[in-house]
Amino acid sequence: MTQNSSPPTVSTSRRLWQGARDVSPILLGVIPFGMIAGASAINAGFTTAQALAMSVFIFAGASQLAATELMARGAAVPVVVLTVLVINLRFIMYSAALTPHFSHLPTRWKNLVAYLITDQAFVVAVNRYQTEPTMTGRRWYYLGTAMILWITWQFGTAAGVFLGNLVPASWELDFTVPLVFVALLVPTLGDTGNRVAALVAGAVALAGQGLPYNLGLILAAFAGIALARWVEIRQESGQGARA
Amino acid sequence: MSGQNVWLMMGLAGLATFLTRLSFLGLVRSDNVSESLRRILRLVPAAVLAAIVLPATFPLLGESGLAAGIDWPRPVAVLIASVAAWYTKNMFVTIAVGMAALWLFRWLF
Repeated sequence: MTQNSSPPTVSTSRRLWQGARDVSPILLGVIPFGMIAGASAINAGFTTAQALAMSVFIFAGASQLAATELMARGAAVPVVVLTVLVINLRFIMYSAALTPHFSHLPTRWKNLVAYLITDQAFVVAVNRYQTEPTMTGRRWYYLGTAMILWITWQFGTAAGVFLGNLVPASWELDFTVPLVFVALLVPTLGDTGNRVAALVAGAVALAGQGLPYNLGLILAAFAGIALARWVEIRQESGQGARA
Repeated sequence: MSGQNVWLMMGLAGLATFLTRLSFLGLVRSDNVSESLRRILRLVPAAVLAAIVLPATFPLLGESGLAAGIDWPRPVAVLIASVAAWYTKNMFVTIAVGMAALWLFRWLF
């Protein structure tokens, strides 16, 4: 209503709805993931307020699970923060890919877009923008997608926080945590670079389990990335020589 | 684990995560990611996730050695779930298959 730009050709509410509709098939998987994050925070000794607040502050599932595990093992705060940072470095890529669509927006909009970046919102929005290059009201489409994901994540976490300890321990629902990571890891292993990165990082992490401050994960990640990059560069120069 | 440390961790981790998300949108104000940075970032998820999964699956290898004995149903269930993840690429199916395998082993043995 107070917009200075030319009137949008498609109504705001229609774009919001379209974004929400496009992301809806993904929501079914977000709820159990959120429940696992909420329940493991409670199991690790977080208070109800802390477990709920974590989903608002960090709002990134894999890193929340990792932070919970590390805190439960008594890791030092800087190590946990660094681990969360490394897990979430991929958001830098998403931030760059979204910039052409939102570079004209005011700062408060950019802050909102940034805070709501997730794997799912990024994939859904960028796919839509690519299939519809002349799309108007992109910010509302993104907001529809990202807000529904945010609400679902908060709802899922809260369900885990309040219902998690009703499940008997003999069901071993804590085992869902490594399974979540397996579900995220395995589909990335489609090419040599990622396979080397996973193999090296996994091996270094296994060997480094006794390291002080739980530094194993960070060391392993850097070793895996560095060696995989080295292998990729060698492969590429080899191909260049043959060609 | 003190309550204060949890709040401190969440505040700092939340800020660090927000800054990764804001990086190009608000801090650099360009969408020009250098090719070498892009190639490095592409490898981050696989490395980090493997560094989480393997020690969580084989928690004894680093500390007490193999002799201490592994609770084998969990590693085997992780392997079965990995196969499900590879073919379905679906988190829900992966978790369901992994849990079903674990419960089956517990019931059988």
